[in-house]
Amino acid sequence: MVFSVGKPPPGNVQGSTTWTARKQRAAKPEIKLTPGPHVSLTIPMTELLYKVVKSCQAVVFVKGTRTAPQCVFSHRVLTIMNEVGVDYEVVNVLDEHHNPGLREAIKVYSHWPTIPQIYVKGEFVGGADILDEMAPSGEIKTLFQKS
Amino acid sequence: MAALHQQLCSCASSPSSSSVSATIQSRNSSISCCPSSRIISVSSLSSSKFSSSWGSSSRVLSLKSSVQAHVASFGPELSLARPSSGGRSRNGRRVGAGVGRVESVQQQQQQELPTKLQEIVKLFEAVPDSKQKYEQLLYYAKQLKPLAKEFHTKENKVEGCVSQVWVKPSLTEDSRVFFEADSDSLLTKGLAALLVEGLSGATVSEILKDSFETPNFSSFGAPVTMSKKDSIQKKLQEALAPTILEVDDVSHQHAGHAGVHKGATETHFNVKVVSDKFTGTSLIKRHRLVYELLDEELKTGVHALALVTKTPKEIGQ
Repeated sequence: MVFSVGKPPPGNVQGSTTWTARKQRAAKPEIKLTPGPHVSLTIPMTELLYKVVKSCQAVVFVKGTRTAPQCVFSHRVLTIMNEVGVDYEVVNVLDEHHNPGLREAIKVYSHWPTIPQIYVKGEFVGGADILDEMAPSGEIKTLFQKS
Repeated sequence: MAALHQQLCSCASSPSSSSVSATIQSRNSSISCCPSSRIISVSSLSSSKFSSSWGSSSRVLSLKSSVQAHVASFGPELSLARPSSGGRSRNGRRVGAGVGRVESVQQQQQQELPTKLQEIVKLFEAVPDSKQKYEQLLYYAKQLKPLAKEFHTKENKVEGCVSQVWVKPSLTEDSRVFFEADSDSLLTKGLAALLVEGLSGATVSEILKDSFETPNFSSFGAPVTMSKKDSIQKKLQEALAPTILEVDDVSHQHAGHAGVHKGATETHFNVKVVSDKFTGTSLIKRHRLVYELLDEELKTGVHALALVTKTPKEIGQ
C-alpha cells in the first residue's frame, strides 16, 4: 500500500521540455566590419580589412552568411572549412549595410578578382578552386599547424 | 568575303528582336561578334566540297584543312591587304571589328564583287543614317526565307556565334552556288540575308576567287565586339600556348544567383588550361596569372572563373 508520494523528478514533470526541445548551438555570427551606415567611417575600408585579416587566425570572405551562402563556390569553401574542423571567421561581402564597398575592396586588396577568398594567419590562401585541390591532401590542416 | 562573313557573324548578346531595338538605341551595348574565319570555313568548306566534286585542284582540299587550323585563332585585325599566296591565306584574313571603313579600299573591292553584292553595298552606302541602315538590315532579315529545321545541323552551323546561325549552300548544274541561311537573332538574320541575296547565283570560282574581299559593313556604327568566351580563349591561347584549352560558359547554371542580373549571359566560366608555362609555379601563382590575363573580362561582367590549371606532366602527357 502506498500512503504518500514525493515530487516527481524535474525531468518527468508534465510539460517539461528537457528531453524534447532540441538545443542547437547558434552558429558563430559573421564579422561585421562596421556597426552600420549610421556611423561614419574615419578609416578606409582597406584598413579595416587589413585589421580583420591580421587579427583572425582564419577568415573567409564569402557571398552570404555562414549558414546561408549565396553562391555555390562560397558554399563549397564553407563546406571544406567545416570538414577541416578549425575555428574560422566569416565575412559577408554582400552585406552592404555593415560592409559597404567591401566586395570591391577585397578584390583590390588581395589582387584577386573573385570571391570567395580565404586568409589563414594573415596570408591569402586562395579561392574555391585552390581549396578544392588542397582539401583531399590535408594541406589545409597543415596551414593551421604551421607556426 | 571576309568582312561580309565577319559581319554575318556579329550577333546580339541576347538573341531576341527586342534586343535589336535596344541596340539601335544604345550604341554602347556590346554585340558579340564571332571571327570571320568561322563563317569563311562554313561557306568555303561547302564551296570546296562542291569544287572537289567537280574535280578542281587539290588546293581546295588544302583550303579545308587550313580552315580547320585557323578556326582556333582569331582576332580583330584590320587586314585589307590582298592575300599573298593561294587559297590558304584567305582563311587567315580577318577584318577589324567595329573599325571604320576605308573608302578607297572599298571602291577597289567593289569592282571585283559579284554584281548583286555590289548593288547591295551601294544600297547600304546610299543610306545616310546608321539607324536607317539598321532598319534596312531588319528589312532584309524579314525577307529571308526560313531554313527548314532539318538543315539546322552542326555542319551548317557557324561556330563561335553567340546567336545561332546556319548557312546551307546548294550547287546547281552550271556550277552556281545558292545559299540559304537562318538564324535565331534578327540582326544576324539580316546579315545572313545579305549573304544569300548577294552571293546566291554566283559561280563557285567567283566565290573562291582570291581577290574577293567584301567591304566592311561595320560602318553600321554598331560596336561589334567579340564574345567574352572568344576573347578569353584568344587571350589564353596567345599568352600560355596551351596544349589543352577548354572554356565553357556555365552562366545558365548560376541564374538567380545573388548579384547576377536576370538573363545575364557570360558571367561564369569554367576554364581548363594545360600549359607548360605553369611548371614550377604554385597554384596561386597560376591562378593569378590567368586572372591577370583576363583582367578586362573580369571587370566587364564576368565574375567567376572556375580554373583548372595544370602542366602537361601533371596530367600524364
